[in-house]
Amino acid sequence: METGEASSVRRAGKSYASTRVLADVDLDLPRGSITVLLGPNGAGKTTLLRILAGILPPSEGTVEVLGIADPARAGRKALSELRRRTGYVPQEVALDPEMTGSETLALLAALHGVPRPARAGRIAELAAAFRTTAHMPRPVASWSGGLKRRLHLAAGMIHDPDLLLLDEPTAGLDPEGCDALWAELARRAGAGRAVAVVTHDLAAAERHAHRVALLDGGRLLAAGSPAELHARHGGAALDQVYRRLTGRDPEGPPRGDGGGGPRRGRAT
Amino acid sequence: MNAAPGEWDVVRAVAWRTWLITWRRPVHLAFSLGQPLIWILFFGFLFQRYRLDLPGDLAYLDFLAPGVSVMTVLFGASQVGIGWIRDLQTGFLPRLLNTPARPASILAGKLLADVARLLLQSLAVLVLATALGARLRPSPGALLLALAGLALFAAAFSALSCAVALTVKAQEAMGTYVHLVNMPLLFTSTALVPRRQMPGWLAGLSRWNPLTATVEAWRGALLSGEAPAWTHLLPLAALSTLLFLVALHQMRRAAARY
Repeated sequence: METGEASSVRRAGKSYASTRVLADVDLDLPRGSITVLLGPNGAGKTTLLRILAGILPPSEGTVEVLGIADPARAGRKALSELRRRTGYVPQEVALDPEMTGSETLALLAALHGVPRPARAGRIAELAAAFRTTAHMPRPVASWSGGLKRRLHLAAGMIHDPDLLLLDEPTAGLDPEGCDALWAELARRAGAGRAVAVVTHDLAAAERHAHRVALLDGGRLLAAGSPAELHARHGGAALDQVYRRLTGRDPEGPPRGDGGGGPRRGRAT
Repeated sequence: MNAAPGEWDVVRAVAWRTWLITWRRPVHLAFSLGQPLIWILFFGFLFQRYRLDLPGDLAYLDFLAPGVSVMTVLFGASQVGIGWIRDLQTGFLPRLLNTPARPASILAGKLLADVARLLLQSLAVLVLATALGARLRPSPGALLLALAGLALFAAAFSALSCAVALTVKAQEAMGTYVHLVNMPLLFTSTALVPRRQMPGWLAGLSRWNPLTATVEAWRGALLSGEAPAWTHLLPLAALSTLLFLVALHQMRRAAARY
């Protein structure tokens, strides 16, 4: 099993025209662990996730993903290798409603180069892990929103990526779906994969994250294991750390600015 | 670790997916066959009483059948890109394009399935025309070459439709495109009327129309067993290559926005 960092950014910043959405961020995604990115809307979490995935190039600083430096500007061969080894799952569900669950996963397996003999097994394993086995022969259009989200997540894992990046994967998932997701992520981290998850679910982060990165206004406020953050910033739980560092109540409405506090960047 | 996906594996998987979606829309398939039937019936009856300057003992229906057969391909091909607008809206196309598969293989898979469907539809039109009384006298060798020309024509206009769809990204705009491209191509070609009965300027224009090149190759193979000339096939091959590259460029731009 490989060890070390699957992805790392140093002094990373991102600007769109005159708007700075990320500034001076240092972060590693170690193999064999789940890193949760927390922060209010507009904190820069999605931007950071996309930079860590090698999809977006940083405006400043450096990024290395699975040994490939500056992958968003890399050549076609490096980009192909990166896509074979990473699984980026955006927040919006991206499925064809006219295909069945099995057809969807089979198509994506072929396009990711999963060996033909392994495909049926992978599909069955993912369907079992996300508890969608009974629905797989039906067109996705007939699935509920939560089931579609599960298939969307499973599709991002069909090629067993070394680096898995999920943007708000629990949005719209019921408790059973959330449990299935976190169990699958733990299993993958246990097998030496690096996992990064953007979420607003502080309780889940407390329970499942090996490391937490807290962002606000495009800056990294703190990073470490939940226990390290408790010890360093006070509080017995992540919601207290969150409140102390961001000045916001994670459960309550935003502080009168209509969007989760002062923002310098685009919504994440 | 997974290997890089095989090109043929990707082509086959995307082609299969395209076929699946096609067969799940029987109403769409029925409409696409109904339209050429209407053209054959209306034009066939409209012009049968007029004296057209046709070679030999050809009836207008004989002359019309290959033209409408190719027209069916043109009209079907111009709508191929609409499926990709839906795939853009659902996010599924960007998802496909952000796999390690080469965009050229994904495009080739889609075009392979769509071109095969269009060729089957064009043959179905000939069966309908024969049932209505058209007399076709094809020779197998010539037919194969002409079918290759028809496939190149179908690939060219399917690729153009994909490129336009990825540019406009709206189904309403595709409706305008279909009329804007199809009608001028149709009425400046020899699909419905022999060149000898066109005004001079229109006859000259029709020589540069790819629909004319395809129709004449198809008509020659179906009515007199003549193999199409390379001067018909080579421009079609060049056109389909050019439009494939244009569609590929638009796909890469769509992938970059994931």
